Amino acid sequence: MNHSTYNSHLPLLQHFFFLFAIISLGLQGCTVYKDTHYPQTERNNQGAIDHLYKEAGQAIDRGKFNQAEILIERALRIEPDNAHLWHSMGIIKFNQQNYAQSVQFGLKSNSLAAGDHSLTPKNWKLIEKAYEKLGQFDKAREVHEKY
Amino acid sequence: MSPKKKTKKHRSLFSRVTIIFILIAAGCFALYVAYLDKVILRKFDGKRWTLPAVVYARPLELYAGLSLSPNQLIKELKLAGYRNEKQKLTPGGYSQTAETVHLVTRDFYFPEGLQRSMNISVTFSGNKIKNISRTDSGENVSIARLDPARIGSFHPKQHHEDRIVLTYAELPEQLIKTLLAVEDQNFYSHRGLSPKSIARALWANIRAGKTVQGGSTLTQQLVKNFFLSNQRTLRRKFNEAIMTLLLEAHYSKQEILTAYANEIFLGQDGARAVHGFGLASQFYFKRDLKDLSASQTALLVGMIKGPSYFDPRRHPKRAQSRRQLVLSIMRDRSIIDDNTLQQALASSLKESTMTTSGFNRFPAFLDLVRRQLRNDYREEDLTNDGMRILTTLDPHVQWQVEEHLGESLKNLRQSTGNKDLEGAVIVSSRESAEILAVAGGSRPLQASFNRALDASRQVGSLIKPALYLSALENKYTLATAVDDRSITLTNQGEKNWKPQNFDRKEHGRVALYQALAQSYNLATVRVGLDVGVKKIIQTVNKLGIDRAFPPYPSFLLGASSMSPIEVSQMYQTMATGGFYIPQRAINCVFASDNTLLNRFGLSVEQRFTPESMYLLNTALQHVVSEGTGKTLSRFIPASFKIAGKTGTSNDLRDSWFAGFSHDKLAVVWLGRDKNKPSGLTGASGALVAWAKIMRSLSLKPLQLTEPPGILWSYVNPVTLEKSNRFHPQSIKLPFLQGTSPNPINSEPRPPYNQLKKPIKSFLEKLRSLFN
Repeated sequence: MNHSTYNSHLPLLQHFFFLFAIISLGLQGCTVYKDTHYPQTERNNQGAIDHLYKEAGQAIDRGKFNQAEILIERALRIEPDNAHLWHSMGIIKFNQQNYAQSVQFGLKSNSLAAGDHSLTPKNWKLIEKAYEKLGQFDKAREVHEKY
Repeated sequence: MSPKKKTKKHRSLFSRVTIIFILIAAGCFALYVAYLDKVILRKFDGKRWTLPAVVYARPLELYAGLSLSPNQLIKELKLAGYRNEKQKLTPGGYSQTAETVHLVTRDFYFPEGLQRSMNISVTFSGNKIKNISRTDSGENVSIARLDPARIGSFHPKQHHEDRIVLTYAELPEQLIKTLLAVEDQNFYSHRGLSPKSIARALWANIRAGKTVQGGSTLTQQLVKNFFLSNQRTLRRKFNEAIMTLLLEAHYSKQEILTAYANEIFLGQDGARAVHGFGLASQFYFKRDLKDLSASQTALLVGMIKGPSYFDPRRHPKRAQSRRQLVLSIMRDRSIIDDNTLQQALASSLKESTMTTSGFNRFPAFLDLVRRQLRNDYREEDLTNDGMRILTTLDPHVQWQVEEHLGESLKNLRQSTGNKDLEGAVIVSSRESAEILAVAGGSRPLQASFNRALDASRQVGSLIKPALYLSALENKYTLATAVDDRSITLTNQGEKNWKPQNFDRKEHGRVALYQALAQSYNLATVRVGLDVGVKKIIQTVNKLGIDRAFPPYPSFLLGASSMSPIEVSQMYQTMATGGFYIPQRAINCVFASDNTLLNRFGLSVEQRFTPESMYLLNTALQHVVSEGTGKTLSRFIPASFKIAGKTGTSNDLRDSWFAGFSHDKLAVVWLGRDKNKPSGLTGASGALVAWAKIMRSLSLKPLQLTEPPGILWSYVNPVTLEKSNRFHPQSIKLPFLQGTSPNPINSEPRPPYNQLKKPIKSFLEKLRSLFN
């Protein structure tokens, strides 16, 4: 998550562009795995989700992955079908080096991400990297073909 | 020898014996004192009190857009021990104006750390939160988490003492002064025993002709409560005196006073004994000790003399006159001024009598929490170490479950004539599998047989979705023709098994989805035998019931017994779209010093493909829209597209309904503990209770996420051949790519890597702008 530029009041067009912005993944060593921006949609609870998502991002930047996990879980209680939040859980699990769960959360996010052509490849990328970390290179290659 | 000498010799022998006797007695006494000393040191230096684990509900998160009425919020606040305050709000206080509720939350330790008190105003628009702001600055608040309600505690079996342990610094000066003025005026000058007090009490008692005053010092009272029994024997009095002197010799006055303030018994809350001023303050006034008024302090101190006799809820007159007496003592000792005295004397006792306890209010849910904790902790850990347990209980959902299960059972008992009809309900969140409410029977306050966890009953047709899921994973489609015709199974050495439909008819050639929607037994058995009973048992295991079932054909029609909680886990995996997420009642566990011991976070495991789950869940929507669950539309509009399944066991012994909306899953079982016929089908019993519970909650219409690779086709439900939209009876069904008889959309929605070139290049361009 690139939180230094995060701003919930950005113009709508810019949010649209952000929807397609994919930040290259720096996944080697202890580099923090980062996410793209959470897209803005017209929802009643947008303010609450934005707030929790932003705080979770800051926690990730500080390397406080457990704290980020708790914040995203809170957001999921409010919006359980938000595929971006499930994707964030996958990223957090990756950073916690729980790669098996990272794969699973990526799959869960994809199961809810129908029609979101920005998020789906990000999930596959995450799953691929997690499989690599698990040493399951065949599965990683199989996943690579999907995006 | 002269008699004089003889007498002298006798005397000297006597004195020697006496001295030896005295020395032996002194030695024994010294040993006994040493023993008592050890008892005191062991108890006082060690863990003074065993503290039960305290259980909390889920914290309520407030944010703009949340469906919540002001009344619901206030009910939750009251459960969490908030007070309705007219003047300036303090932590744990709230007030209400037209459409706004002002409240001040209390400090609370969450897994992320300490959350400080917040002073906020929540504005409503109808039954939704419109806005939340800081009361002082008016600044907008995106999300506010309230400190959760204490809903119970785990006590050792032999006693139910509960307390909030405070330090000396946390004891208000007014309380200390009042306590000493009433109970022990010479506390700081005596050494444990006070002859002056004893003489004064003796004189007062002689004058009154009965016991009106005790001569015990605070230290004596503490020793009595802490170390000794209630027996009025000489030996106990002797022990009390020795131990009092020893306690005073070892410990400071501050330590003794603090121990006393935490130990003193101040009332009974059902089976729970309220000890110490800290808990008593919460129990009687719903506020911290430091926030007590003079009249409240006086009431508590006055109650020491007889907590039951002066109980302000049961004996308000006695309590009030005792309080007035203590207030006058407070004025005499200049603890309060005249003005405060007049105000305190005039204040009513109402504030202490209005409150009700939420403790152990939800025994069925607490039972589940305790069982889940047993996997990680010993029983002693739960009852002795003062742990704090944050659960997933949603009090609003729990109240609705209790109310509507109770009401449904009352009506159904009348209509069926079965007075012993009982029920169980489990409600969970659909995607995160957190258990929001549990009812173990029609009497929610009784911690008796918890049917939600322990009733093992035949599930009937509730098993069918597992069977049809296995079929969909084995080349069947929703439109595959299946035979609903009579079938007889012969097993060597056993009686023939000839299953029948509920209506005792055969329905001929039907589509797979119809067989599930109408719960046709004959078609189900045929499909099940084709797929294989063992394979279906494997599916049940994968859905979350990880135990062995005998692979008899009768398993296909739900002859096996399961508990409601097992059924709930099975349907949870369907509701999440094929992801196994263990159902959880606990969020996290803290040690008494607020360090996080354990967190039960989300974990997921994909066990079924999204495509087969999508087909199954669509079929479960057909159960409700046109099948055995059709009567649900009398309670919940069809537009909510609920997915569910009815279940009825042999001779109408068990009535089940399991189903989910977009946000919640609920399972209801109704039946009789003696396993006699209940006179109810799944549709006429459990479905009705399910519907009444769910419609009382803020539900979201179910929207299944369609995975890529699904095609929709029109099918004629009679001929089961391809059809089109213009045919009046035709029905639109989803199919896996390559299995559709007549696809409407010639291609399924393409995965990302198959997007047409122009679109793909446009996306690449956009992406390059930000790289």
